[in-house]
Amino acid sequence: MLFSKDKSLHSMKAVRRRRARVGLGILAIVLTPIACCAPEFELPFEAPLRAGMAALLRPAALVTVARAGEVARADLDFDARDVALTERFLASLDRQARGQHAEDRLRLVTVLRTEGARKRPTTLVLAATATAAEAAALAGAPVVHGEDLVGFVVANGSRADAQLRVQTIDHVPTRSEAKLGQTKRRLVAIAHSAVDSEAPALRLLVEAGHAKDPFRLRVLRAAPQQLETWAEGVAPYIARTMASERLQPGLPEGLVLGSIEDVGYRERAFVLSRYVEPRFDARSLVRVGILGTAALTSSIEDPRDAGRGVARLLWSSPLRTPWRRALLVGKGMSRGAAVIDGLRCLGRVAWSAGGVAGAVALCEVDARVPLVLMQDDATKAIYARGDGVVTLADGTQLGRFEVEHPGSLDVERWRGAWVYSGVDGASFPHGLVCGRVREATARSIDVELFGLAPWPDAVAWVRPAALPSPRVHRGDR
Amino acid sequence: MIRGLLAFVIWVHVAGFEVVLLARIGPSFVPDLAAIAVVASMVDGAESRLFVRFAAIALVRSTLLPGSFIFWLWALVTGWWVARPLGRRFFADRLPFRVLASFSLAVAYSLLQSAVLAKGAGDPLQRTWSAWILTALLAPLVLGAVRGFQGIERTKVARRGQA
Repeated sequence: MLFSKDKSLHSMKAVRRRRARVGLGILAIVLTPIACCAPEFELPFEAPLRAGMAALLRPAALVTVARAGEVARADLDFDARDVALTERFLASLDRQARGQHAEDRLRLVTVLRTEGARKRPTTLVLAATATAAEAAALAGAPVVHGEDLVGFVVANGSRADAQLRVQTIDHVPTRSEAKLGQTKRRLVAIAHSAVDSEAPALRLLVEAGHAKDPFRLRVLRAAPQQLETWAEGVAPYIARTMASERLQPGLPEGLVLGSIEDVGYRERAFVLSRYVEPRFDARSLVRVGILGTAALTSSIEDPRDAGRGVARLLWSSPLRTPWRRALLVGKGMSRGAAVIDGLRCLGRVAWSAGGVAGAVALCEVDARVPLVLMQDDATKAIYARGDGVVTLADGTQLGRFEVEHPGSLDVERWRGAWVYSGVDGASFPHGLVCGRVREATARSIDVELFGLAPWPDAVAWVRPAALPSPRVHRGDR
Repeated sequence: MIRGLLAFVIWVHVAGFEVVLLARIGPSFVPDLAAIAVVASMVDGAESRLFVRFAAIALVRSTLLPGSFIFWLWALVTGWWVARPLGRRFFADRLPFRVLASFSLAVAYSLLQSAVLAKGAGDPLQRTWSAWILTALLAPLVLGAVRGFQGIERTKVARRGQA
């Protein structure tokens, strides 16, 4: 550097100061895009540093961490009202996932997490295990949610874990899958007007759309090619599967693919391209059903119940502020785990290191969370983005969520609905009561969250549920 | 090394104390430590010690308040980098500069937090006029105390040199 060439003119102190100035300037420039675009981005070593900070500020925490293992099991005497609510919720959820399908033909399974692109994941990892041979036998079995066709079971292939996976109907094969010969799945469908049963039907050949397409399924062939599906009195058109033993053997007819969406010239009634938008979002699905014979689906094994760990509340942010942070002390807490009090979800673990963890409320700004609304035994799975805390004139604090899926919410129907957790990984299970909807618009909900009230001194957190190892038959070795 | 470590621990506790005050007396009557720290950094001119100071504040804030370590570190460094040329022009050690700089930095930080952390929905720490004015009034006092302490240290060093 120029200033360090002739050091005789500067003292070492001045050189050091100048170096620090330049270093800080470079740091400011380098950090600008991350700080402005992703202000919650965490460095890999940040969690241990934060844990160190907590210990530095509260040295007594270290003693609590050391004794965390001595704490007895979490109290499992739940509030009777919460138990009744949760049971009602789980029954409603199963009823909706089952739809009209016969019980002996359908096996309900919980979705554990999604894989694939963050905004549009197309692989569901189920909380169920099967051996390679069993998964191969199940491969291609249709997976439904109510009357919607979600996707198809895939064989485990070379994966190390034995968890069942489902590729959704909008799954585009990855490069490695394409190398193995996998192609886009094509579906034969027929669309009818949902309003006018006399309106002409539209026959379709559908496949997964490109990432740049405006909708998730693309129509390859349509007959008749130019049919006005958007006119008042006929829209929307709903596409359902057709039975075809040659093209899609084993796929029952009448499963919903989605609504028809057209791109073209409205005034000339000319369609340029036609799409189908499925009614589900993979990120919000909680329970799905595998269609198949009882013999096939009986080989699937469900996970054992999730365990609970105990944590002590070390520090909690002031209640009046519109942000919520809590420092917890307890052994083995994992990032993303639900922090619970009985059957109520208070928040999630944001970071964890060395027995100290930071927890945030569910409505943390920009945090994505799957939720399920329940009103009068009807459930609605939504995928929401936290938008912080809203304080009303009377001082009541509500957690605000922006609804990313579905596109618009029926305000009147879901106002006052109970809000439950959806499933997001093994340590964030579904069925935890989060709060109640107070206000709603088509794109956002304000929820009275339990996590915004003061947290108790001892809280529990969800340990990932252990998946049973699949029974290995002799033929699988 | 030991001096840097001590400074780090002290700044961590000062930043922690600010959060305690936020909890106890509310955000309207708590001065913005970030603004005071940046102005103090311009006054004492010890650039080589700035990173430790800023990192301590950023770590505590990322642990107890919204925003990551990167965000808080960037906010402090950028605030200092933007205000530094002004300090040179308007004499950083003068009282009016300290008052004005700390006030405008406190306002700027509230706006920045509102824009970046809360997507424009207002300062997530809920600082208001009273907090900004308090920052402006308290900064010269705090800096005066720090300067006095540094003066005592310098005198000691000078005496040691004479001996």
